[in-house]
Amino acid sequence: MPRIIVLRLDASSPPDLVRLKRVLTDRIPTATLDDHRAWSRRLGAMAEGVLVAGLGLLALVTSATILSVVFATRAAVATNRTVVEVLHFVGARDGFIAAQFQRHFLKVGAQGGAIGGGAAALLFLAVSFLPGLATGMEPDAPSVLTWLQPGLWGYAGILLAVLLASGVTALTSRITVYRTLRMIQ
Amino acid sequence: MVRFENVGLRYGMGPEVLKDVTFSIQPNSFQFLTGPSGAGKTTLMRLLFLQLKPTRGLITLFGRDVSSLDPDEVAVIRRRIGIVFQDFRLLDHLTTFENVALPLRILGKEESSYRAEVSEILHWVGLGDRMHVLPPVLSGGEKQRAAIARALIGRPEFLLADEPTGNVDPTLARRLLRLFIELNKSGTSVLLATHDIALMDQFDARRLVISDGRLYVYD
Repeated sequence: MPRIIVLRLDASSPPDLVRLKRVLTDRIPTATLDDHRAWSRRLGAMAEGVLVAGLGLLALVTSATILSVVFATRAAVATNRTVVEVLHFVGARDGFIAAQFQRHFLKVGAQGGAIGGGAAALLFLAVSFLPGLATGMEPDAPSVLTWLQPGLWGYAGILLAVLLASGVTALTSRITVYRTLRMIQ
Repeated sequence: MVRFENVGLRYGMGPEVLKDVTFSIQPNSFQFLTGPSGAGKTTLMRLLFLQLKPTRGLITLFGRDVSSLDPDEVAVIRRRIGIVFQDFRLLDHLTTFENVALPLRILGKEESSYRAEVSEILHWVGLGDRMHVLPPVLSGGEKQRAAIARALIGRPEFLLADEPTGNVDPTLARRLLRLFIELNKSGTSVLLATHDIALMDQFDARRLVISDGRLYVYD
């Protein structure tokens, strides 16, 4: 029967585990020494992998969002080509037309971003009040849903996404209007 | 006011659609532009409205060579020209009043400063009671008159009208012609593109006839 022997290690002068392993295998060839370092290294590598994959996914989602905002805005400006033409033909300067569209689409982008960002923030806030998450803040007893608590930086990130969506929308509308004007002239 | 000298225009590498066009338009004058479909009327109108640049020849508008204008200068010259499009080009999301006021809005004017003026011109073209209606609700003739009012609100020195009577009945066509004649009497040069011979016979004016890309002037 295996016996459990409890060893208390002196943290101030840690044992030479390599030497201990060698001595053990010299004396008892079937013995193994597992100090959990290999396991924790594998776990750490896996966690890093998950982190990198997460960041990659975040980059993909951000790119996809920006692209969808860009193409949706371009399509919206294209449907307003008549407005661009009429303003152009009644003597509006190109800068005036572009500014009008930019202002309008900045408002539309900000409204859309605020709705999406607000919904995301409310969802995170609601989840953080779930009873199962009460222990989530305890480092020794993490909850499965701990990651759903974004913290202040997370909420700042949501705000940044709203600002980014509004900015991209406004800029795309401006560029598209100038492109349309070049085609009309 | 307008001078064309040996103007030629071709689209891309295609044949010339306008050949050696030479004519001038004097201030306070009235002329019809006519010719068969596809002869080049609309192309000539687009040249006059600075939507196209000639491939050869010289066009002078208000004393400026159009080939040397930058986009901002083009915008400033366009404000001196009123245009009535054959397809009206009214903005469906704006009321008749807002459509007509558009040339003043782009100048940054406050609505309070032009409300009376827009209202007056809408009454003049017979749309006083249709001021707050959206274009989809207007009839063809009403849309045409709204487009004319929009072209006139900026008090242009030169008015271009592309088939302004093309979508209306003969009675309304006569009314619109009278409106253009009145406008001309008030000092605006008018170029009215039409292929309605009966309409042209109602008013003795200079005729510019375009045929096969060449322009013939009958004073």
